[in-house]
Amino acid sequence: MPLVVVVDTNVWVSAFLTPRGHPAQLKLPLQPVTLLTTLTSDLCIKCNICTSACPVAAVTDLFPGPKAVGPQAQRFRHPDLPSADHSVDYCSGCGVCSLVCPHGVQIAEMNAIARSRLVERYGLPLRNRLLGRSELLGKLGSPFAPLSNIPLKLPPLRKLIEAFLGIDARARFPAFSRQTFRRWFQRHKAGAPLIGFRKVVFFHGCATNYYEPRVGQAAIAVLERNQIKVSIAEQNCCGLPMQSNGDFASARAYARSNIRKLAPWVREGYVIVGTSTSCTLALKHEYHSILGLTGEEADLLADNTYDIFEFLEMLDEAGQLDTRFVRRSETVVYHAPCQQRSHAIGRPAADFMRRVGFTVVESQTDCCGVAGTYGLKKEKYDIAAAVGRPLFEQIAEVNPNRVVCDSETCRWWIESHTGKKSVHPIEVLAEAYKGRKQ
Amino acid sequence: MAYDLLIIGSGLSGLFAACCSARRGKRVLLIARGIGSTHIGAGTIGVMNNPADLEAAFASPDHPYAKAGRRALEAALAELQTICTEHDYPLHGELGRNLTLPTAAGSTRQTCLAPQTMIAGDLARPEPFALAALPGFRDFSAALAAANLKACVITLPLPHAPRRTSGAPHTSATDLALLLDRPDYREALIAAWKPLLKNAPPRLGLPAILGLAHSAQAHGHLQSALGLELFEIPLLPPSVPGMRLFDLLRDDLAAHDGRFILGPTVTGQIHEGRATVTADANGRTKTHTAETIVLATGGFLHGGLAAESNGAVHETVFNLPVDTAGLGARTHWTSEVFFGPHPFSRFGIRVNNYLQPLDASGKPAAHNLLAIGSLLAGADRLTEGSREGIELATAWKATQT
Repeated sequence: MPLVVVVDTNVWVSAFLTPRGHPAQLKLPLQPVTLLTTLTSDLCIKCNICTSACPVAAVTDLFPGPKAVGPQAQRFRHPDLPSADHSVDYCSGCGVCSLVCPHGVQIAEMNAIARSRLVERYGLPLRNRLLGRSELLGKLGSPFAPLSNIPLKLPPLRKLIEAFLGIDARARFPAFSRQTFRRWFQRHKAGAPLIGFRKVVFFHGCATNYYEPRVGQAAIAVLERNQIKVSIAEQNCCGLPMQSNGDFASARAYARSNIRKLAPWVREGYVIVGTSTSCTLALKHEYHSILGLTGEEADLLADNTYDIFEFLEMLDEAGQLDTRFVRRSETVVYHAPCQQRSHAIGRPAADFMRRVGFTVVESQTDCCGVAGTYGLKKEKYDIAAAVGRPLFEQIAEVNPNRVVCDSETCRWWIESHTGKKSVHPIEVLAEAYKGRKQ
Repeated sequence: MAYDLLIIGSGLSGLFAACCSARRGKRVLLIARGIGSTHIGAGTIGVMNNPADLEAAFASPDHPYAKAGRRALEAALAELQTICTEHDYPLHGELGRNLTLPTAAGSTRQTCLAPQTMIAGDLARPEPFALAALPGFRDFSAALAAANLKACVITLPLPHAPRRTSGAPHTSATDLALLLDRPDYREALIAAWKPLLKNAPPRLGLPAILGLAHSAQAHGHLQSALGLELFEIPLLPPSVPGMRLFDLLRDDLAAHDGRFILGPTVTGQIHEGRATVTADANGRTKTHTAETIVLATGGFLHGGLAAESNGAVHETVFNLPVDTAGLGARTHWTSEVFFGPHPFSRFGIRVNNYLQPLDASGKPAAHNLLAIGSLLAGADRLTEGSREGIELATAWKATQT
């Protein structure tokens, strides 16, 4: 049902907001889509449900809550005036507010845009600039692994980094992998001749490429087991780390580059499938609603990007999934990360693990706290740890051998706070295919 | 996946229907655009302000109570009590005998079931009580409520919370409830309050902040340590007692293997008498089918009904015909008295005795579609005090098919 919005931006205009916010009839200067995102503040009835659900506001009063800095402060934000509320920087961007809002206010998206306005006006701290460049860090660090993994493990150096950059010395960084996923893939040969007709571009993201090739290897194994032709196409960082640090200019450059590189594959009949729920959410939703990128190619990419379990569930429903799993019993805690929840696809990974024979204890904690790079920052580390505490306590109580989680930064955060090994659910599924001939 | 029951809406009726079905071993999927009405209600179960009116409602064919039937109402209340007790959050009360509880403004309200944390506030009881003023907490004026209820006020300072960094006062009930879940904070509070309550009346009313996940412990702990009976008074949204109900029903659904997807906007289609729904999230649509689809989207406030400026009213998922009692222009929808009764309160979807929504010709719109809760026409829930009773009774009945 389209919703009629009346806007006062120098001129009165009417816009039709379709579910994804396509502006059907709108002529406005610059970024009309992000303008529509911010205009959803008019749908707010101040019920405060978002504030009651916000994991950050629950543990600190430095963040007054999504309603206050979102739809409420939005009324006072003007393109030519200073930001109404600097506390928006304490929003972790987990997106829970947008999910629980019963009235369709895009609160988290609005807050991300507000943060970018802060950055535009006051500049981007060096630390946030660095943390946003996950791809660059990977490119620099990976070739020199394991040597490059040593410095970040040296407490005195970390203290220095904390003092000069503001990256918390307690925050654990993942180890670079010497062999990148892409290099592995180039040498990899598909096991059996592929007879299927489905074609997938695997969007590996920076984490799989530079830190955890095993996740990508598991994904390739699962896809190829199902006779799917996989390519890894030219691609780059999704841009989310820059976006969530408020550096929209860089994020848009990365996003446009991905759109340019990947749209032709979609035209060739490929779909884009990723294991990182935050990367895929960026391609699917945030390029549009937060970065304001529109156009045929952007839409093509958005409409054809899938989380890997969303994709496998689709195959399953079409009767095209090999379900000859080797059943195994293991108890795991499954934490659906906040970015996975924002896909609003349910929790297919948990369903698959149950079919394999696992006992899956699902976390009801909305966010583990780290929210990408948020928890790595000195002033936010304790907040992020407090956000994750209910999850860590649940893990301690269940005491599984492994914790399963779809997002890389969450896995690293959970590992460092619980001492438990944390894996991606696709690794579990890949294991369940092993030991049986096709 | 093939579901037995697909429910749209996460208010009390949708959640309760989902839980009841999942507890009977059905495969259940609940889809909601956001959190529903629980967070803006008092967290109590109102059935009828005047219990004597209940018989008339059962006998009046268009009333949702008549569609559900007395047995459904009784069974629903009993099942909700069972679920809540299992989650260590007992609800007290019985059908036909209301509790009279105070509101935050100091007026009174009738409710059939109330959580353990509230029942000591029963105004039918003769023991005097005081109300707690909590400096720094702005959502409750003890002075106002006490003046209306002829009670006294005791000012009780809130100890500094350990996680506070900015030194700002406590801002919300949710904040305080999360703090009161913690035994260490309760100890600090007891130490600060105990000397101030030496000559207090035997009952003390507090705003509804006594814990979120551990309210039974919080309530019990404070009562025994302070040596008086404590009762909570529900506040403005978001309602802490409402959140407790939402959380426990959500957890119960998960524990019985029910699925819950929050976020998508749902549209419905009816093809050859069979309803299916399409969930739209992030521009991605997915069609779901189920043996039974239950519409629990609520009325105007919750998005189940939408009104246009020209007086047109439509049902937002299937575009079912809405019974507006023949009132066209919006000027006829309201009465002069702010608190009603207003004619628009009775607008809604007409259903048959199986809770199947009716199309314009009066036939079931689809053989696998049911409608429950505040979406149904024929009751002025605010005036009657019947909102939760109708939600539970119709939800329970929908799970019996």
